[in-house]
Amino acid sequence: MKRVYLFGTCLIDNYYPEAGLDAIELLSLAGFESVFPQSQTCCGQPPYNSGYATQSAAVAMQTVDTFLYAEYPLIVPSASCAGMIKNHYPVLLRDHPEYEKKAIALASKTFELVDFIVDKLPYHQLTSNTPVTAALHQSCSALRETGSAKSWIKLIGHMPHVTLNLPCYAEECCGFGGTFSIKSPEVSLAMTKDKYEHLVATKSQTVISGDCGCLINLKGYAKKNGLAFPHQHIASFAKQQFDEANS
Amino acid sequence: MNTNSQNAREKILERLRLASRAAARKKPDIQKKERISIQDNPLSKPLSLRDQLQKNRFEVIVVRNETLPQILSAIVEEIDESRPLSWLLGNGAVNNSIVDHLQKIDRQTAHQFDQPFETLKDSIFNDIDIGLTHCESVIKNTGTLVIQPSADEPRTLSLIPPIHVIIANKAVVFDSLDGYFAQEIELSLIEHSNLIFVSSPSKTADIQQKLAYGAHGPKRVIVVLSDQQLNEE
Amino acid sequence: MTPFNERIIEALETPELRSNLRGAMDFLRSKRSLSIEDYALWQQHQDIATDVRHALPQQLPELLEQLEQSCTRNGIEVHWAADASDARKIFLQIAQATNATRVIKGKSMASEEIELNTHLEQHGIESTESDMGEFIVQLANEKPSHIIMPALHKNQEQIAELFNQKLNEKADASDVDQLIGIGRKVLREKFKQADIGVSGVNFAAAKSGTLCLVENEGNGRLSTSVPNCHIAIMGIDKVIPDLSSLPSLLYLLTRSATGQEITSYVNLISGPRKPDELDGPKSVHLIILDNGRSSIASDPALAATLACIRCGACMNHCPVYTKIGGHAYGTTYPGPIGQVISPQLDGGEEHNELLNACSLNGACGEACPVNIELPDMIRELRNQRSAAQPNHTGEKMVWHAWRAIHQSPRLYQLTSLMMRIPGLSSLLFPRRWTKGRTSPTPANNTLHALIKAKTNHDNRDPQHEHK
Repeated sequence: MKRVYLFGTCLIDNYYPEAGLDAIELLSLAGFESVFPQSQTCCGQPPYNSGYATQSAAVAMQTVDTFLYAEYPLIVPSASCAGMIKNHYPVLLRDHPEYEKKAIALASKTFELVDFIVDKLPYHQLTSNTPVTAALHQSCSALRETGSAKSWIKLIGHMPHVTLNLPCYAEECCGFGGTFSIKSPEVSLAMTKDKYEHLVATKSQTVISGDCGCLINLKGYAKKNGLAFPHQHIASFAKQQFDEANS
Repeated sequence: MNTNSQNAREKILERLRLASRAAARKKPDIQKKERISIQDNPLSKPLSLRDQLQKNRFEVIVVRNETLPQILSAIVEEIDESRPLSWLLGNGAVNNSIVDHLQKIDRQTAHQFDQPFETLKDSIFNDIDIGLTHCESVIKNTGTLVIQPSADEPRTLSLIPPIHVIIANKAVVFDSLDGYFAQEIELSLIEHSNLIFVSSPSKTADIQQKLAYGAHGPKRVIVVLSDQQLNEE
Repeated sequence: MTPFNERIIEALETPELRSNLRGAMDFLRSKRSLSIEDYALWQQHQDIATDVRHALPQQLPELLEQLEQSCTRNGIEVHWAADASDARKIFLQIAQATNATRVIKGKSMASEEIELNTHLEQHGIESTESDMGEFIVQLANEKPSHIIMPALHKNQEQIAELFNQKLNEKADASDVDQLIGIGRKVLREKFKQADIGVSGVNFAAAKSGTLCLVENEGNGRLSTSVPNCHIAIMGIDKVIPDLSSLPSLLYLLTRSATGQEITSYVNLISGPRKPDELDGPKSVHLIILDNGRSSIASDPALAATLACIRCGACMNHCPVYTKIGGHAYGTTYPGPIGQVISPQLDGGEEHNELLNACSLNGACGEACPVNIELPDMIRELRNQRSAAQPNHTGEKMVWHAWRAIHQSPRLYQLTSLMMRIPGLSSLLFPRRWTKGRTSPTPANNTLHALIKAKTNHDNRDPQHEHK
């Protein structure tokens, strides 16, 4: 099997590790063996977006070194972190002569998970699955940084038993935005409340998304208000469909 | 220019020259990103000139070989008001002749813009129902009429009266604004200190996004075109 | 709490404002989206406009001098204003020289920037806004809450109520035509009486000395045609080399602003009334206003701010603007472009806090028709803000620590373990988060640990194979 690097991302690592394992399984279904370097940490986006580019750059260089060691493609089960590496590393590391070229090299071999596997999975296995409804939260990064939202929709489109619902105002932010949710909590929360209600209004069995920041945010809002929020990372959802088919 | 303005000028230009030199040293790349969520909304086919004008809320009168009196009667019919109407026109032979013919139609009074605006101001604001101008260029894909105010046909003729009649049956039809700008604009600017591209009656959506016509300018605009311009089968 | 945050909360807690904003944003977004019939054509125009507008910061000195020469040749009197105070003085001098007592105004954000109305009123000169939205806002003693639709924060009931109170009219809230008719009637008198008409400028072509004004109502045309004297005010960034790019700029501007293929009127002014003409202003003045813009031009990372064509698409697509509206920002220009331009125009510390009200969701950058990467600029301004902070500030220290942890795989994994000590993880999330959301509970094991336990995964990592 061909090898790929998996970047678990710090949020999956700490809060949704099963999504990381499921990504590895999906990659395997698509014919790839995942390599998970233990030296990986975070892509550096939190300080990058907060105005601390120097701190971000230091961590970005660590990530570059981790994943440029071998020529494997880098697969990221997060549009946000994939977008950071693909679109922002070359700019962030522009003033570090030895890293600028490396950043461009890494950017060019980095893929969001679903973008990478969407055309490579054995969907024919899914013919007798139980029908399920899912609401998709596209995430701003998947819409506007990597364009992965199209692959997410395509992935579910290959699963005839899944009814996919897009909430109204699907293109609007869920209010997370990293430190935005801490520095502008009131407006952030108003956005989260709306997003939660629009997702619930689709009356779907589960909410799926490929970005854990949004999911943590929405779950935190629901829990605080005693509301239910059944949800899954899109990798876990997809993996579960294949599990069902093969059980 | 007074000293203050002169000083400001030097200050601004000096800062900009410094900035320009700084920027030249470190010119950022322009990012032309694919806008991922923008999608086409294709029309089945481009609208004809008549449809485009009507979509823009112009009232269109099409003429073939009609004589001037016949054309004017058609306009009066389109306006369809039973009260007496007061017209204002420009000067020159063509307008003189329109005035003569209008006077012969029932309940129509025609005046000419033959004195400075200051003298006519009150009457233009208070008494005139219809302003008539000519138009030499029409733009098809936006449904635009290019009005070129002049000594003969002043600016306010097409602006203050509540109804504006545009005689455009001799106008050249351009496909797009790009075409007009490429061919005509330089010459037009030399001859006219004011050019107006009119693409609908005056309108506004400033109150809760509800569209209302006749905000400040004409509420109705009637356009006379020839069948050749429309090129309709 | 900062005043900005107080204003945000006030806006969020006003249900009528919230629903007015939602309605207006839905309307403007869907109109824009529907107006893009042909994305390939859109891109062609976008390329032309982007090239012209982004080349601007470097060309400004030459273009402005050329504009001055061309306008002067056309009979337009050119004035330069380094700041708001300069511009106000010029207005007053022109008004006093002609004994003007009444001014009628078309829409102009530059005139908002210099607070022209207040200044003229202080000197006994009546100044009336004639754009319907601006007129409504002026009647209510407010400021515009949007650069294109100044009164979108009000609904028709609120406007009818305002007309009843301030104009002594029997306004019918259900009849927008009647409401507009009232505005028309009141303002027609003002047009008739005005000594000076003031306008903004959408684009000024340097080569031909032409001022381009875009509008739907006709008040801009009336302001620039009826009074004896026309004063146009423009920021230095409104200049374009010549008219060849105007069709592309208009194509993008009107679609992005209001979803129109073209506005009712595009007005090209290249001089005052000629000797043989019977109407039009006898004098035309152009005030070229800097007011902080030249300092923007000097920062390569931010100079593209000057490429803005003021269409308002960024605010129409901004989820934060949609929630709080324009007034909460407390600036002339609200929304994303306001967040970027306001701290630069004023260099004002108080505008720095505006930078927090952005989730970097990218909707503004995507909507911008001239490819201004507003999210990148907000990041850059956040960088500049933090660079100016002393090293011991709380946030700076937090990020230093964060970097130390994430630069070292061992420290990172150790921290992950510590997060799993009961009670510790919630400390990571400050009260400002936990007020509205519970802090997330870390999973029992990290992905690092699970993978290590599951397979001897390290062996597959070439970095380890070689060791």
